[in-house]
Amino acid sequence: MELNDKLNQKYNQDKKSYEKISKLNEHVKKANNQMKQLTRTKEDAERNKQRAIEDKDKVAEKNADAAIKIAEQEIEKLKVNVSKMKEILKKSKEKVDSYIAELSKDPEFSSYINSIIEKRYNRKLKKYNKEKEQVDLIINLVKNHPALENNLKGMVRATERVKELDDELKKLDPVKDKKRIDEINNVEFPTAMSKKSSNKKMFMDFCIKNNVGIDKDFLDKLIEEQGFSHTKDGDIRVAKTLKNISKGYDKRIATYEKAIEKIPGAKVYQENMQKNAPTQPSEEREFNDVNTEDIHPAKKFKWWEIRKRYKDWKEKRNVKKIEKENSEKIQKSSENSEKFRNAYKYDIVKDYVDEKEEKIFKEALKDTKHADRDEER
Amino acid sequence: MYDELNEMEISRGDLEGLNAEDLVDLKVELEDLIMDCDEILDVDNEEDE
Repeated sequence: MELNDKLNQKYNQDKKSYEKISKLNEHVKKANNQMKQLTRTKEDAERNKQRAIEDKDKVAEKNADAAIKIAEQEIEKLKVNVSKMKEILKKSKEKVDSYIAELSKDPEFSSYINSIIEKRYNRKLKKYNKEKEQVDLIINLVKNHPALENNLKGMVRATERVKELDDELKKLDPVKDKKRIDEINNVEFPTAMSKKSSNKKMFMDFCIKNNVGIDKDFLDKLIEEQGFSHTKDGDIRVAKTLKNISKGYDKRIATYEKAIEKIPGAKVYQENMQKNAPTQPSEEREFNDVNTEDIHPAKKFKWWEIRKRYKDWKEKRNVKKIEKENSEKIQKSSENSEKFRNAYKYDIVKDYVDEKEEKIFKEALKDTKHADRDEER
Repeated sequence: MYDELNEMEISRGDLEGLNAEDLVDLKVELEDLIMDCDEILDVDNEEDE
């Protein structure tokens, strides 16, 4: 089999698992967003109920109760689906583990694969340590600077407003609701975006001025992807949400650390151990400790992204190969012509030299004959 | 939406031919997704203030 065919077969093989894992990833992300939306809906309904009780509005209270019930049912339904998803993921993982175990019967392979697992787990540890560090820095900031807490709340509220407006736009009729659509697009949407960016600017300006290593992209990700919970009064629970996010990272970090311990001969890399050192540095110390790599983390590619890059690279390589072959053909043909021309030139010169030699020889012969005749006289 | 998930289960056939690096990447990715699911399911158990 040609090398190219082998590579194609390998690529298609990888593509199958790549497609499956990216779809699973998509579903998990979608479920995560749905859960956040439903939790928010439930919180809103609970807040409405509280107001209705205060206002002694029985109808509003009943409506709020109904909304809470629907949200709870939806949450339960979603949980069932997420549990199914988890089962599929676990079964898939078991297949991968059992295949790895089978291949690991070969001691050489076993040692090799363990070294890869050690590297990958440490890579994940590094990523989560960095992200947790960022969350902890933000926790510290909002705890010590109420203005920054307000900025963060402003960002969260504006992001929520943008999402609400997006949802509303999807439901509107382009003809009937043109006025409202224009109002959203021309006034409300730009206002929300402007609030978000001004609050973000103030937050980041403080960080830059005080040398706090908050990564702008991470802050965006935190605001966009993490659903901040709300109190019954509608206030954003910044501290609680951030604390829960930080705890989530703790769980992941602990899981990876334990997983590394189970790998024969593997260890947690020194750089990851330092981040976990149980120290209580001062706010300033923590800020100064963040290095430039933390501020601008290098982009990590998912393995299927690497596959895609590999495919692109392969295509480019093929194009280059064809170009090179064509150029070589032209060069070869040109070289042949040159050789022929040289050979042709050689023949002409040879003929010329032969002719000259013959002429010289004849003249020499003639001279010799004349000389002989003179001697005879 | 979730019916198609069954088709997403990774089979033994999908794994044959994968090299060691890809197998480990797949394993780690699956483990991460399982942790994501745990976090979604754990939403009610988050600590209150």
